[in-house]
Order: sequence, then C-alpha cells, then structure tokens
Amino acid sequence: METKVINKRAGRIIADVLMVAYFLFALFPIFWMVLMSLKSTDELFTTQFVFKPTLDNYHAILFGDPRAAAGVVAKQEFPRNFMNSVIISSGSVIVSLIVGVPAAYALARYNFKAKENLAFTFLSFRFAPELVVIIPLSVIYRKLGLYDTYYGIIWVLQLITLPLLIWVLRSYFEDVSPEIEQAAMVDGYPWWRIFFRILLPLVRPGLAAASLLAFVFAWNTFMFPLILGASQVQTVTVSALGYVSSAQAFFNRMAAASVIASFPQMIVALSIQRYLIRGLSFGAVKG
Amino acid sequence: MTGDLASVHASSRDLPQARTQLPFLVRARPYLILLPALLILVGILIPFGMGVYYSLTTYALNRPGSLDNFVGLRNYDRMIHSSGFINSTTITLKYALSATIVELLLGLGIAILLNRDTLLAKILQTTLIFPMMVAPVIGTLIWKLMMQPSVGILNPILNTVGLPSLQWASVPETALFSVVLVDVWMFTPFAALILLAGLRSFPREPFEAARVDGASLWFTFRNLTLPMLTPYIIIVVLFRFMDSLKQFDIIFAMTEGGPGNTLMTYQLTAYRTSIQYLRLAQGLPYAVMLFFAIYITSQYLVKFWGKAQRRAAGYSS
Amino acid sequence: MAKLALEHLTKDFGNVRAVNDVSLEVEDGEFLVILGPSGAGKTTTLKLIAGVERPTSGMIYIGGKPMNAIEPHHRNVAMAFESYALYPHYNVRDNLSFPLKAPGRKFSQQEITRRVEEVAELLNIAPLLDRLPRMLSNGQKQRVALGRAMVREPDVLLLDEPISHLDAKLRHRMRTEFKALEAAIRATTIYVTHDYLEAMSLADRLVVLKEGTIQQSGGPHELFVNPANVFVAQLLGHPQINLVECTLQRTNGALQLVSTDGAIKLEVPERLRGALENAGIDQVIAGIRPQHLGVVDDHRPASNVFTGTVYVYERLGTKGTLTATVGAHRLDVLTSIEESFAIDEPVSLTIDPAQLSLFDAKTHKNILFN
Repeated sequence: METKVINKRAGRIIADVLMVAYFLFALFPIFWMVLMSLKSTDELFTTQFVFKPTLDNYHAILFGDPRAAAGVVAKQEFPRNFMNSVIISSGSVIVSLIVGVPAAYALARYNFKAKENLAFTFLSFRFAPELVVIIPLSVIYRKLGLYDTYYGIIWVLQLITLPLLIWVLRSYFEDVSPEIEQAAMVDGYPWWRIFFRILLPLVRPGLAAASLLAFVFAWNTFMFPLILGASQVQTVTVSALGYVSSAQAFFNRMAAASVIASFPQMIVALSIQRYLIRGLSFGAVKG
Repeated sequence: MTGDLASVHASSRDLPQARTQLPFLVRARPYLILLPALLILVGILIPFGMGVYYSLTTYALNRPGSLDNFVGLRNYDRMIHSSGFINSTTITLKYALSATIVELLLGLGIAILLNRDTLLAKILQTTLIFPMMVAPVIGTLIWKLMMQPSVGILNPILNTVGLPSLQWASVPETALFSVVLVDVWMFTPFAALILLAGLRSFPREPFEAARVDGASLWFTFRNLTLPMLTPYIIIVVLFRFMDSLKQFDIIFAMTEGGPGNTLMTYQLTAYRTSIQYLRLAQGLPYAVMLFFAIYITSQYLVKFWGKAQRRAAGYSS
Repeated sequence: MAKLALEHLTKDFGNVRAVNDVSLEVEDGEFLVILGPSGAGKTTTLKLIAGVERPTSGMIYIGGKPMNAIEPHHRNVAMAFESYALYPHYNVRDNLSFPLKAPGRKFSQQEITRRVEEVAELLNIAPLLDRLPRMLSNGQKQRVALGRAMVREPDVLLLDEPISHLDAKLRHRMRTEFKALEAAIRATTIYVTHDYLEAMSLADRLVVLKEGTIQQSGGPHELFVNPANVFVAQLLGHPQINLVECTLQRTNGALQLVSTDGAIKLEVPERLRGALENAGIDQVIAGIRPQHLGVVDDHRPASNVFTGTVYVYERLGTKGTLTATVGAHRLDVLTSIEESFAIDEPVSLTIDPAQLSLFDAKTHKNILFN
C-alpha cells in the first residue's frame, strides 16, 4: 500500500519534471530571442544573462538609428515591412472569407457528385509543394504586372488561407443541425436571411478563430513574398533574413524585429485556445 | 374521394401545366455560391498546368526562345539520371521521416504528460503552441543564432554539461540533425495537441471494463488505446510528413541548401535551379514529381483516416 | 386553414425510397394522424409538405394550389420538429416570436407579444420565456417547438412526434392536453407518431405508413376492428394481436381452419366464408385479439377451444395478461385481475369466432379487402 502511494507520488513528480523539461526546450529559444533583443551591441558577444537591458534595438528598427553609418540594413524599413505583412495577411484572409464561407456552406449542406473530390482538391492546395505554382507564376506575374504587388501576393496566398477556411468552416457548418435551418425556412425566412440571422451567429466563434489562424499562417509565409515580391511588398519574414546576411551582423536588431514580428501570433494563440485543434487539423479533429 | 380530387384540380386546370420544379435560380443556388471558389481553383490550376508544360520544354529565362522547344519527358529523364538526384531524394526522405517520427513519439509523450488534471499541466498547455506560431523563418533564425559560434548559447550549454561543441549546420555531418531539430522544436506541439485531443476523446467505459476484467497494460494499450488513437496518429502523420517533404523555409533560412549540396531537398533544388539559375524547365520536374508523390500519398492517408475513424467509433458505441 | 392534397408523392434518397406513391387528402381543419414505425417515411412526408424536401415525383396541393414550385417560406405551413430544432442563440420568447417577425408578415409588436403570451400560457411555458434552449428540459423544449409552430395561424400544421421524447407519465398527460388543445388548433393538422395510443386517442382519421407506403386509412376504430393487413393489425392494440398460420380444411362440409401444428382448430365464421371462398386460397393467417380469447375450465377438445399450458402470467394493475403455449404458438389473453395461474399449469382457451380476422398467408392482406 505504501509503495503504491510513493510510486504514485514519485510518478507524478517525474511527470512534472519531464513536462517542465520539455517546456524549457520549447520556450527557451523564444525567451532567448527576447533577451537578445534587449542587448546593446557592445554586450552582444557575451553570453551573460545579466546585462543592462536597453530598448535601443527597438528604437533603431522602428525609427531608424541616428548613430548608424550609411548603408546599414533596414533603417526605417521595418515599419513598412510590418505594414506590408498586415496588408497582405488581412487581404488574403478577407478574400478567403468572401470566397470560402459560401463554398464551405455548399460543401457542408449540398450533395452533388463531385463533392468530396472538390473538397479534396481544395485540401491538396495546402499539401502541394508551393514551387509548383510559384515558379510558373514568377514568369506570369512579370508579364501581367503583378510581380511585387499586393494583389499578386494576396492571390497566391489563397493556396494557404483558402483550404484552411473552407475545411474548418465546413466542419463548423456541419455541426449545426440542418433542421434548424429548415425550421427557419418553414417559419418564413428566405435563405440569405437564415444565413445571416441564424447560421452565422452560431458559427461566429469558430469563424473568428479560423480567420485568425489563417491570418497567422499568411503572416508567417516566406516563399511567396520571397519569389513573387521584391522591395515594394517585402514582408517581415523576408526582411528578417536581411539582418543576418548583411555585412554587419546586427543580431540584436534582428531579435528585436523578430519579437515585434511574432507578437500578433502570440496574441492570436492565446485568444483562440479553444478552437486551436479544430483549426490546425482542418476540421478533422474536433478537440 | 375521387370527386374531391377533381375539385382540387379544378382550380389548377385553369392554370397552365402546374410547375413541378422550383425556379431555375433557386435550383442553381448551390452551384452559384461555389462559383467564386471554383474560379480561384481554376486560377491556381492554370499556373500549375503551365508549370507542368514548362517542364516539358527547355525553358530557361536567360535563353530566349527556349520555351518553344518541346522535349517531352526529357527533363525528367535527365533529372532521374543526374548525379544530384539520389542525394536529393535521400535527403528529402530522411528529413521527412526523421522529423515525422520524432514529432509523433515526442508528441505522444507530451500528450500523455499533459493529459492530467494538474494546474501545471493546464498552464503549460496554453503555451504549448508558441513554437508553432513563430514564423518558420524567424524560428530558424533564432536557432541559427543559438547555434552561432560567437553569440550562440547552445555550445556553451553543451560545454557546461561536459559535451563538446558542435558545428551544427556548418558541416555536412550535423547539418541534417540541426534542421530536423528546428523542425521538431517547431512542430511537436502540433502532434502533441492532436494526440492530446485524441486521448481526451476516449470513452472511459472500455478501459474500466478492461481493468475489471484484469487486462494487462500492454493488452489495454494494443487493443484499446492504439485503435482509438490511430485516426489521430494518421492526422499527425498526414500533416507532418506531407509538410516536411516540402519543407523550404527552415532549410533555406538555415543554410540555403548547404553546406554544399547536403540539404538540397526537392524543393530546394527546384528553387536553386529555377529561381536562382533561371533554368525553369530543369528545376520544375523536381517540384512536379514531389507534387504527385504528395498528392498520391495524401489520398491514401485520408482514406486510411476514414477507415481508422470508423473503426475507432465502434469503441465508443 | 386549408385543404391539403398529396398526389402520388414519391421521394427517393439515392437508392432508398422513403416515400412511395403516397396519395392523401386532408380536409380543412381535419386532425390527421400518421402512424408508423421509425423509418416509415413519416418525417419525410411532413418535410415534403413543408417544402423543406423536394419530391422525386408527385404533386402537393394546399388550398387547391400546387406547391411544388413554391419554396417553404412562401407556403404558410408550420412545423414542430421531432428534434425540436430550436434556435440555440435565441431565448424562448425570441424562438416563439421568430415566425411572426418573418419578412412579409405584418404583425404589430402588440400582436406579437399577445400571441406569444397566449401560446406560452396554453402550453405552460410562460415562466420560461427568458431562458435559452440549453437551459430547458426535453419536455420544455418540445413544448417550445410546438408553441413556435402554433403561434402563427398557418394553413397546415405539421407535428412530428411532438411528445415522443417525454417519459411515459408526461407523455400520457400531454396526450390528454393535446386532445384538449385540438379545439384550439383550427389549422389542418397532421400529427405523426409511432405510438399507437396517441394515434387512437387523437385522430379524426388515421393513416398507417410502412416503408413509405400507405397501408390503410380511416377512422381509428375502423382500423382496429378491420385491419387491412397483418402489419396494421399488429400495429394497433396491446398486447399485440395473436397470429396463427392455418390451413383451410373441409370436414363434413364445414369449413375449418387448422393451425400448422394441429393444436388449434377454428371454425370459419359465416361472415367470412364468402370472402374466403372467393379468395380461393387455403393458407391463411388467423388474427385473434387477446381480448377476444377467454379461459374456460372445460378441457375437452372442441371446436374453437384449444388447450395449452401457462407460460407466463402478468398482473398489470387493472388487467391480467396470460401468455399460454398452445402447440407451437404463444398466445396472449387478456383476463380479469381476479384470476391466477401457475406456470406450466394446463389451460384451455376459447375464441369468439365472430371476432376473427383472416389474412392471406402469402400477401398478408385481409381477405375482406382486395
């Protein structure tokens, strides 16, 4: 009896230790990035954890570094890159919502022959190697004048945001019993009123969570703005590389830029905890 | 009775043949609301189709007129017989398999640890997803920085516990390990979350019955836990394996495919050949072949998932 | 209030035919009950009338007007769903008033409030008006669903198993309340159920549905006394009608039915002789209701008397149910509560031949119907 109790307790402690060990592994790099961002350039090459924190790096990337010599990378471009990321991510999510919400509804409610094939085709966008579409587009976009434009990137990003929204929303629509819509029909309401007054309110939290998740994925994308964009639409992800490949390695600036560039995602992650699993698994797991 | 039906028809007999179908616009509604998504679908298929076409020519951006030269499957043939092909295939598969397997096993362990009711578990679960939320490029850069000989923290940590310093991604021996490490750091939370959802979805009755019947731990695991967990495992494998086969951001940010050709996976090769060297028709076959491999594999995995789901559902009824 | 007519209505779901050539007329203000087991196509029929499902073929007329080309929200039909289908994000009051606020309906705010409160009083849900559906019990939800259907004055009122999800006692109470409500409901009503007691109690007219096909239509008592086939006979009545497979035998010029194991011999009643001979069959299924069997003390074999042993005897409050094994058959008999029987005790049963129903053994149809 006593051994059982001790084993249980020992087991619990070991479990807790293992858990904490993993989370140290998981969160340390992020923690270290924040630490880096607060280090002044002189203290950069020391590995001390005790140092004088400074906001100089943030200041430099946001407002430009008055002490920097000419030719230093990304003087005031960071705010611009940040805005580009905002515009491109919001734009692609909005387009995906307008296109995807009706499509998700059709896939959830209507039955037609090619339904599952169509649904799988949308899913295959997410799993397809991006270059198979980007390489031809790099030629096409230049011809159409879409190279290095917001529209061009927003359009390709549908490869990422549209499958997510369609599949996740489809699963939320399927959760609503069709009889509720039928009751509203019998009660005298046409389809579009039913959609806005009954259906949307019922899926609204899932819809919001899926949109935020899609926003994060659009924001984190790298290949599309790298190849199909240049200076006009450079996003924070592409510019992050710029800090390291320049002649002077401003690691601390890069860290500060990374912290700011990662901030929206963390907020999203904390706010959609409940919907995370369904969103990440494209509706396959209801969690 | 028949008399009544006649009176019912009386009013409609005056009308033209009674309409038995809803108006056309009403019947067409399902297809109309799908239209925008279909347009985007076509809009994606067009460049894809063009890409496949390019791969059948000798298209190179620095050689005018090369697009008109149709050579069929010659590029594919050349690709398969090229010196880098085996290396590329090997490294693509090694990366995908090692990342997926480690993430699956580690994720399962974490899911089991988190599947408890303690306060610590609940708090930690909220932060679980953070590594996955950071942009892959940025996450890789952080690790690259940590691996850096001058400012990095990893080697000092290794040294404090008595282990020698590593050269991480700068040398071929540890390059794969370094990028897989980043992948594992970034995507194990995904596996853990999905498997945790799976563990939480188990009905208690079969396990209680097994315990009452005196089943061994292994028996319970093999005949109850595993079948009920299989659909979730398949989801993890589907997403992670397919994603890591085409992983670009992590490898590119770390070494751009190096050192040398060590990490030149299919997509990296396609990028270098088509975008950097501008030889589109030479690089596209890698991307196209990868596409078909992924497409076919994912179809099978989705089918398996359906079967596994139905089988698992049998346990909860 | 309007007359409802269904003409050769058929609905297929892929390879499954849910509704099979159903033709029906419901008079203005009539209370029709559709009775059938689950899967019989009752709900599908209601949904076809409401317009929420499209027929594969056939016509629907309400008030003489063809409805096939008209969408549900233009049909002035109200429906209470078996699954309640309440709007989860609206409270009871908003659920009840929702139909009244539909576009095209011009009810003033006072009128809406009046009707909602009237219906809530009627159904005893007035104290629940501010609650959300998830805070209601099944019985309360069912009443809200009913109220939502009643709050307008529709041409046709469709009720899909409105009290089936209540426990037995509550169901009994609601059944009596429904009977009282019938007067208040002036709409042409179709009430769907699988419970024959509800059907018998509430129906002006009863329609029995099996696998999408109408088996019989008529007054409840008529269906009970003269079932058109074995299915209808079994559906109505508890305990279920006793069925015995018999062969026709002519002995000494008299017609007799003998069960396949010979244990039961029945005299063919006068009124059925003609139909039996016209039918020209010699294999029939004899149907005897438990209340038409009696226990006799005389164990001597005679026509319309047969002997067996007691299998089980249940005393249920006001009546006793004796189940006896006669030959290869198990027969249920209703007895008075005073009797007592021991298991395996020999017992003799007699039947009043005038109450016999005969069915063709192959087609299962009552020989009086062709």
